[in-house]
Amino acid sequence: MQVSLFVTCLVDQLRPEVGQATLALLEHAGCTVNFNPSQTCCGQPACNAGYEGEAQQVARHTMDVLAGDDPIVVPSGSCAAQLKHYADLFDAEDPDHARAVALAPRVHELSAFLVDQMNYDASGASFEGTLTWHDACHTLRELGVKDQPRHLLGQVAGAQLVEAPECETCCGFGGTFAIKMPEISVAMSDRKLDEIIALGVDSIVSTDISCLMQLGGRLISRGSNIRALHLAEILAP
Amino acid sequence: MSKKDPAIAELTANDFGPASRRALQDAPLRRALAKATNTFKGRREAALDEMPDWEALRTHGRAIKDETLSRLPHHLTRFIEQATAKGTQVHFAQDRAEACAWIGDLAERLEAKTVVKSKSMMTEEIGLNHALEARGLYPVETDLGEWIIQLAGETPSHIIVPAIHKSRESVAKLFEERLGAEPDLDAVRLTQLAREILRTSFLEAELGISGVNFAIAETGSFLVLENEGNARLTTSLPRVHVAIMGIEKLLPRWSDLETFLRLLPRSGTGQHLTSYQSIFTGPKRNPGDEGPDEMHVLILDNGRTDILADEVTRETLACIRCGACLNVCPVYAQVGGHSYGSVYPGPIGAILTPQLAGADQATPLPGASSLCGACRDVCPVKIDIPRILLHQRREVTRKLPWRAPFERLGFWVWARMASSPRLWRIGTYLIRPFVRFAGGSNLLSRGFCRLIPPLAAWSGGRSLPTPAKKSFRQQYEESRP
Amino acid sequence: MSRAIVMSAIRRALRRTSAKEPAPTEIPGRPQGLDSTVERTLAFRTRLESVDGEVHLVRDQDAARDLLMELVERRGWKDIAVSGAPLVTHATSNLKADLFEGSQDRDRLAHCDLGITAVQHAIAETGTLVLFSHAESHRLTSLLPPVHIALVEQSQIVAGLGDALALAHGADGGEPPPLVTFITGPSRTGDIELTMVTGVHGPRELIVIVIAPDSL
Repeated sequence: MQVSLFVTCLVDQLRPEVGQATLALLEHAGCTVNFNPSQTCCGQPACNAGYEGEAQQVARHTMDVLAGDDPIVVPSGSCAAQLKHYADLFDAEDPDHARAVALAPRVHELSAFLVDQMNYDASGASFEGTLTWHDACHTLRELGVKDQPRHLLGQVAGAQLVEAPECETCCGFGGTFAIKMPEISVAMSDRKLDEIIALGVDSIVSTDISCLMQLGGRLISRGSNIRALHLAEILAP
Repeated sequence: MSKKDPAIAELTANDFGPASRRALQDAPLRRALAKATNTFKGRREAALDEMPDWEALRTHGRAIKDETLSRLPHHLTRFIEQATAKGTQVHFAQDRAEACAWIGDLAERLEAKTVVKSKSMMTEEIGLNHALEARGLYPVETDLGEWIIQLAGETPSHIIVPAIHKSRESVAKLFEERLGAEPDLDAVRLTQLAREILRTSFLEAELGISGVNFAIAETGSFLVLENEGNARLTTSLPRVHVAIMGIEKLLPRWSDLETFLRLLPRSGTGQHLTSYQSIFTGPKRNPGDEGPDEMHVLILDNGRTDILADEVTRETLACIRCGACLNVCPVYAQVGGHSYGSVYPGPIGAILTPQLAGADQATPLPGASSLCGACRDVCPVKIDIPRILLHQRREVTRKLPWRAPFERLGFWVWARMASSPRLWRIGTYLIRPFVRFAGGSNLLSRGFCRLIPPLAAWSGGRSLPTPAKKSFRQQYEESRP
Repeated sequence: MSRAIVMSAIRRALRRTSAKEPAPTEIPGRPQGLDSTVERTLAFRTRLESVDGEVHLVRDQDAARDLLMELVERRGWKDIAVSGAPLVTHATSNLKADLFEGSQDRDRLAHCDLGITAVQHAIAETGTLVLFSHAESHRLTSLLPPVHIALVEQSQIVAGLGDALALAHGADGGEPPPLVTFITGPSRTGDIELTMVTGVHGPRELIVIVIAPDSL
């Protein structure tokens, strides 16, 4: 199957190894992956900060970059949700609205794509240690993805999933919120991390690099050696 | 409405930033918040486990609210006709000044020395107590939480449990100082004391003021729901009962109560039903009957028709004030109700306050959310709060374009970069070394980091992420020429 | 004046809005399987007990009278307000206590030991008592005393909220009565640190005697 990879700006700039792992995973699953290097950012920061014109401008560019019929795989639930919701940015009469409507069903979050579309078997991967899953808000609530990553992690040899009762609680990132209200944002992270540290796991895993950046950054500040890992890094064959 | 007199009384929503930072330093407050929000969340989930039709109920509740709002003139007219036919006197007020003046005039006409009140968000919104106090009348709040707040001279911090921020110790101290109670009473003794003192007020009161949970157009009735019995006393003992409601409290039919009686208690407190519901259809009919001689319903606009006019945000008026969104909100759980500087805190407050009072009166509130969507999941009438927050953020940047000039400039530059692959490549290539440098642990790095506001804000409590030496696209292009 | 201004503001706000279809008449969330009197009685008891109501099932009116006498003696209640419903009159006919009509003397009511009422209906779904102001002067007698005892005929127990609301809708000559009261358990508050305390403004205890010939 031909797929188009939208790697997201944060993976591209901060964690290219997540992009490499995603690429390897998709190829291992039997996909032919097309990566268009003209891609930039999904535009969510501007959208969430209320800069509609800027968000539209970036959305148009991204729709150009992702033109075609292939499924688009995104290693981030939040960015995938943004791509899926492009239509909200445009008036119904705007031709870009129709383009956005056509784009939406092609967009897949990585774990949902692997499980629902490829019936992927992750038993080839191995990971030594305990981990807990963080349900990123947009992955869970915008895309309804909850079981797929757990299903995949359950197949990984050696990986022990320990559920945190507050796994669905927001990490505190929230895009520009993390910078505009940093004290609240950090306090929200601490609420989750207190619980996760008490669980005694080795790693927090999620499918959203922004949550991982938030939780990982806070873990380092707190002097914890729990690692914040992307699902693709665990599953990479 | 002029800037001096926003639609919500005692509004300080523009101070959200400093107020929330103070709250974060208040350890007892945060313990109380964590306990309360977790308890309510758990109770709600337990109650929903026994209600398999929950989604259908929410859909039904919302359909009734949408139907009502879309034909509001029709339903209001019917309510007026029916209520009047049953002997209820229906009045309207455009804003809070008019509403407070009307109630003050009524109390003076009755020569009321004691006025009792049951819990009503509407009276908090219009600042009724202070308005009456300015005329020498001292209404007594009778909901235990509200009474505690009134004694302490504070404002409520939660829609359902107004004194959620106060510990048992602080209430005991308050009762000791203000009422001469024995020191360090437990919750049972404190409650008993409140019962005894408030009983006297109930028996003396000439005027009782209540809110309205639901009003029924078909029959001219209205329902008040509670646990304590203070609303029953407020509406039964005084000679005159005034109920205050916003225009949006209406339901078309009596039978619609069934759905809302299943939705509201489960969402608010996790109860199948609260201890008491009173459905009023007019004052007493015969001299020997129990109940008030006069019954008035005061219907307020106070900014609601502006909300109704905006099709994007109209659904805000479907809110039934259950407080479920507060209990699941991770921001509310950290900063509490007072940080919002409005009688309506939490997610619903963040969307309702700017709409009632004006975006310039509550500029930070639409931003006081990580847009996690937990509020939308629990809302019994499916209000899409994150969508409205986004809409309001757009309104802020549109109506107050120079509120944050550097942010605006930043997004302008960013959008140009992000829509041009060449600029993006050059820009990110140039920025990466700076961010890498800022993330270093040496003094120079830290000094540099502090100069760049977003980096400084991030690194206050979080280690900066280190950009890779080579971006994914560089690696990709090098490996696949 | 303000009425006309507010109404026209509403009309203006809705001028581009078309009327929405009425909500479906099918009401979700109704209780299932409460078809028999016995099922309804037991469900009513379970639900009311889960919210700290005390429920007694007795065989007939005489047994209710005997149980009431026993409770009054055991608890030492002396001054007792009654509502005047026939069921109450029968049940209190040989009580050794001072009885008075609660609706006639609110000051005495505020200081008495017990209030006794009947009910018009009860709801199995929620464990709720339903009282109509035109049928019985229940308003203060069920509210001011520290203990409220309600007498319920098993046949009065309906399955769900919808059944009770439908009965209330036309109860008073085709109209709702001036006051419909739903009571589900004692008066309660959690306003101080969420500690549940009963008897904050209304009764601390709710005792329901169900005359249930079919359940025993």
